[in-house]
Amino acid sequence: MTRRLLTFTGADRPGLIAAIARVLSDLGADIEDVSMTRLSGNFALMLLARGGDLHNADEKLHEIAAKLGLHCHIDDAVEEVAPARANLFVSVVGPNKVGIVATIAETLAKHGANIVEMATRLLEKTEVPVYLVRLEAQADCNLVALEQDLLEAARKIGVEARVEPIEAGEL
Amino acid sequence: MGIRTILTLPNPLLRKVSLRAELPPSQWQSIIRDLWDTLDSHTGVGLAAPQIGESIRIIVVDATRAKRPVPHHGRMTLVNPVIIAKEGRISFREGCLSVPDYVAHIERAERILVEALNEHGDPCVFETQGFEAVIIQHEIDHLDGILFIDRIRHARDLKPRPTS
Repeated sequence: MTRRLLTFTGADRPGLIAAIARVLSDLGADIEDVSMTRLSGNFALMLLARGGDLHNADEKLHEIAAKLGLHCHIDDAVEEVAPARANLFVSVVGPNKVGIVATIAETLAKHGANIVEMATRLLEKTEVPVYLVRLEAQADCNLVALEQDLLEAARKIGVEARVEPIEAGEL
Repeated sequence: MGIRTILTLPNPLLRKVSLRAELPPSQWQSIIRDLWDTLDSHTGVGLAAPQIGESIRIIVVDATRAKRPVPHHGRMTLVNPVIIAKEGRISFREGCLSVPDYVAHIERAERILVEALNEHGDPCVFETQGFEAVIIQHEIDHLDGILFIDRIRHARDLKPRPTS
């Protein structure tokens, strides 16, 4: 069955998800996974849908997007071989500046670590604007060396970083 | 000095572990007065000395100012407060005068047993629960350089403060 990754972006307003989900439902497509967020007034929806008439629905999806004033991007979705298993939590807080995300992400990439979830906040009513990053990564590498590199990279750009292994106990 | 400026992120003083307050109590009085004057000029329910730039283990707590009435011990000054026992879990939406405009649900102990000195240097031990217990845990965190944003896992758990 066709599995598609759909992305809708644009100015946020009530009713966007309702309209998109209705089109998919009418197509008989199953919504398998959704990630929707609001990036400072901008609506950003990514969803995985499968089945129904989805293989022949590009026109309908672009039509509803245009009607809603959104951009729509449609991709064939890959099938996941194994779920990502995050084993590292990274927190970064510091005065906002260009390059915080790049510095942290490059350090993780250098160690082959894969970011599986990330979100940020910009706090603006503080002494100076403060940027906050929280991410989880799958890092199949020497975690001690990675932590040292992350702390050093953060220190160099004047932000504080915290790195914690993610462990799960069997309860 | 009266009402003091409340430090906000990323001021490094908010990250320092505060020193124990040493006797005699006379040397704390101006800080305690300023803490109360500063808290009373804001809508908060607690304030810790590091938030006004004093790296000393003193907090003031006033659960009487909660939006909805809650059990409380009145306006309390706690010097060198220590949580000696805790139980249960409770989640409250917390904000902080040092991290303006954002709130997050934070999980903390529901009931705590606190040992501290009062403003006169007399030892006291008391039990409290619910909102007052949350305030005390939040303020003691400040004495250890910890902010509520350090206790959230996901950046989007940090929400803009509701208007009401």
